[in-house]
Amino acid sequence: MHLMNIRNSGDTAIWLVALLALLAFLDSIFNYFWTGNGIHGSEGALLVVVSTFLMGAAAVLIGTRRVRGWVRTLFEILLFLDFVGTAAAAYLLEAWILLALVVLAFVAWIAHLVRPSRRLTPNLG
Amino acid sequence: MLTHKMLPAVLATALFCSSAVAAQPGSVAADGSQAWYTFTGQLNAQKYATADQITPDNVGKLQTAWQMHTGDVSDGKDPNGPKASDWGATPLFVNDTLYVSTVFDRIFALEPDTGKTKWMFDTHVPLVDPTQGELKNRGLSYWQAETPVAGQPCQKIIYLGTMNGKVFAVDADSGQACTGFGQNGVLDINQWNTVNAKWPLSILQPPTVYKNQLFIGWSGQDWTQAVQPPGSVFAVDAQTGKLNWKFDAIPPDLDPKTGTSNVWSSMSVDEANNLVFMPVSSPSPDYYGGDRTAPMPLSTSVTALNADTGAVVWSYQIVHHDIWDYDTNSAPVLFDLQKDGKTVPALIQSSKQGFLYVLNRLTGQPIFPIDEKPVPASDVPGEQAAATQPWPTTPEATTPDQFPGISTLADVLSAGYCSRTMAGLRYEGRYTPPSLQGTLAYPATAGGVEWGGGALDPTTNTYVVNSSSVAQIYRLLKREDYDKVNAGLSIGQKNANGYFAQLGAPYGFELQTFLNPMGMPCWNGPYGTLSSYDLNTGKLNWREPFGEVQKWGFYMPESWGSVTIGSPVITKSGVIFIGASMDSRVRAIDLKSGKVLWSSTVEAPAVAEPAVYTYKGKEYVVFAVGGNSILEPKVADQLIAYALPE
Repeated sequence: MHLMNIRNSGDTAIWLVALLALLAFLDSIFNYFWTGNGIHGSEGALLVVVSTFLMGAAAVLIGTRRVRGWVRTLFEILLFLDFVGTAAAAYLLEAWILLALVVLAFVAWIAHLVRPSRRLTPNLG
Repeated sequence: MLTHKMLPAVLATALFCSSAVAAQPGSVAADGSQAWYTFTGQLNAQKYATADQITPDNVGKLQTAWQMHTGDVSDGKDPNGPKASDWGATPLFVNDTLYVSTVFDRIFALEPDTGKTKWMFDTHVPLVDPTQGELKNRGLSYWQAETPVAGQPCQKIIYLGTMNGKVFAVDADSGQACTGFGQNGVLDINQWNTVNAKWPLSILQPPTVYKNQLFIGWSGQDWTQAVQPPGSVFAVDAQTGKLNWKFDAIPPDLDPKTGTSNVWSSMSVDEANNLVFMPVSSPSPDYYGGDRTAPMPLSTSVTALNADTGAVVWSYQIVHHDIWDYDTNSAPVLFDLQKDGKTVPALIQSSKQGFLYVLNRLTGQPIFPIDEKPVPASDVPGEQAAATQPWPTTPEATTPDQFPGISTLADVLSAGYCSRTMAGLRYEGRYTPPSLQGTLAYPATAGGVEWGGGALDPTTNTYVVNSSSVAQIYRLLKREDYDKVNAGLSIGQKNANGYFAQLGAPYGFELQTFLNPMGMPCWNGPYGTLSSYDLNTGKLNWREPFGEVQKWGFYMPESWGSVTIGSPVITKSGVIFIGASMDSRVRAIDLKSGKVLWSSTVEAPAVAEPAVYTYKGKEYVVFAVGGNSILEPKVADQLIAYALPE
């Protein structure tokens, strides 16, 4: 066991966050353009398009370990703020599907935070 | 103000008019059900539907039966395109057809149960607006011969008034022009615009049709100049367009000093007594009356005319020497009030200031007390505000007498902007005159109650009305100051910025809604309510915040309510249908409790009164969804019908 590999087998939760953020992003785009929902074309609907895109981007960057150290911590904090802000916006927009997706993404993110942070496995090769 | 000289005419009217009167031709559908044949549903403006299939118990199941888009919509953003559209047309259900007009001055005849187009008539009117700043359309009128002759054209006629003052007459069956009307089917009311013709007359509200006449009012620009066209109403023959008579609210000797006092809203008709009721607006200029101090008793009034002659039967002035732009702005609702075991022929006139005036509709005398209360004097050089104003105490006004106070939230978020601004304004309650320092106007010209008016259930005399609570800042500017602020701007730009020229008067005018820099209202809500009254007693049954304020797409709490434009409809089964709110929703409300039973999101605020009708045994509720810039910069061209599932 002279070498150790870092594997992310315990971090599927962050990819779930990314997937839910993608769905939230698509739902936000739909809300922005569909004229029958009362919020189409509004600044609020545009805001959540941007915030869900950023949510997904942050999850991908964390999931792929492009960000490390304090930058990663910063991204986790920003992701948290994104959840709170987007959920509040979705509530005020009465965009219930979006709100549900953000809440689920938040739960997945909690799972991501509380998972065993890194699992060291022997390199037997 | 009731003029005693008018009483003989009142008595004559009462003596010679029979109580048994044939209904207006076209007011009943082919299957015997109720037609929706005017802007206000019926000539008495009750907006009452006898349909009873949709009830408080099943209204929650309502579904979209059909919808169509007219294609006639403009957001006004294309500098080379038409101005923004402002569509508030009530659809008509007559002649087994649903008729609706558009802001591009087209008429659609639709199958009532599917929305499929039977025919379409295009007036080809240029898409320019000479007076209103937007392309506006509020609907159509309908006439039919007492005994239509089969095979003869134009026995049933649809009329469309346009922003450039033309009335088009179109055969209701074929969609072909009725060439016997006006010139080849078009009547130009600007042929009679001969006094102070500063701008062309625009037809905003559809003409009112009664017996064989059209009563045509118009709108203009009473904020731009002091001296303007006098507000004539034209009564013309329904088949030929020939002028029968003309009504002027302004004494002719005052024409060199003022103008307007026009009827830009819909009218109502007492068929039994042959009376047509005019909601007469304020004289020009809107906010300074120093050059028009002579009595104008018919201005800002509700006035009853003999429908055959145009003679004034009575008139009641609801605002003396109007300097607030408190136009009487909706057709009075006619009803028979039960009092002390007697039936009293009555009307109720709603108003921008939120007061509800209940009058005997044969005499104009108040049925419930209306006091003449002292009001603040003007401190503007040259102005002479009226010393007193009529002040109804019953029914309770739809808006409070006192400003509802500064909103803590709006004030804190703007670092005290609201309270600082308030401290610099003049405010002494209702009817505080416009001033040079700036006056807080509450209620303001934005309402109170706007042009939809209220609805009435004649079986119980329950009256339902939506009302806004809006505070605005009125500031007169000395001419040189006004010119300095507005140098180089067009009239349209000045209007958009809230500056009204009042050319010819010593003062220009600035009108701003009292918002903080974030766009939040500086006053406490609710900003809109729906109220129900028992008109036999004048008592308030209930009042609920109505609709939701929407800013940047975000919905604010329901307790805030929404500013509204539009009006309710009441059905026999006890359901109120109404759009009107800025949140782009249409709702069904329980008549008894005021609770929301059902709602549906549409593409823009539905500021038109809905049409309710039964066709082939099924009840439909149809909303024209067009938006209105006073509420939201949102436009649409959606016509949507709701019905219960099969």
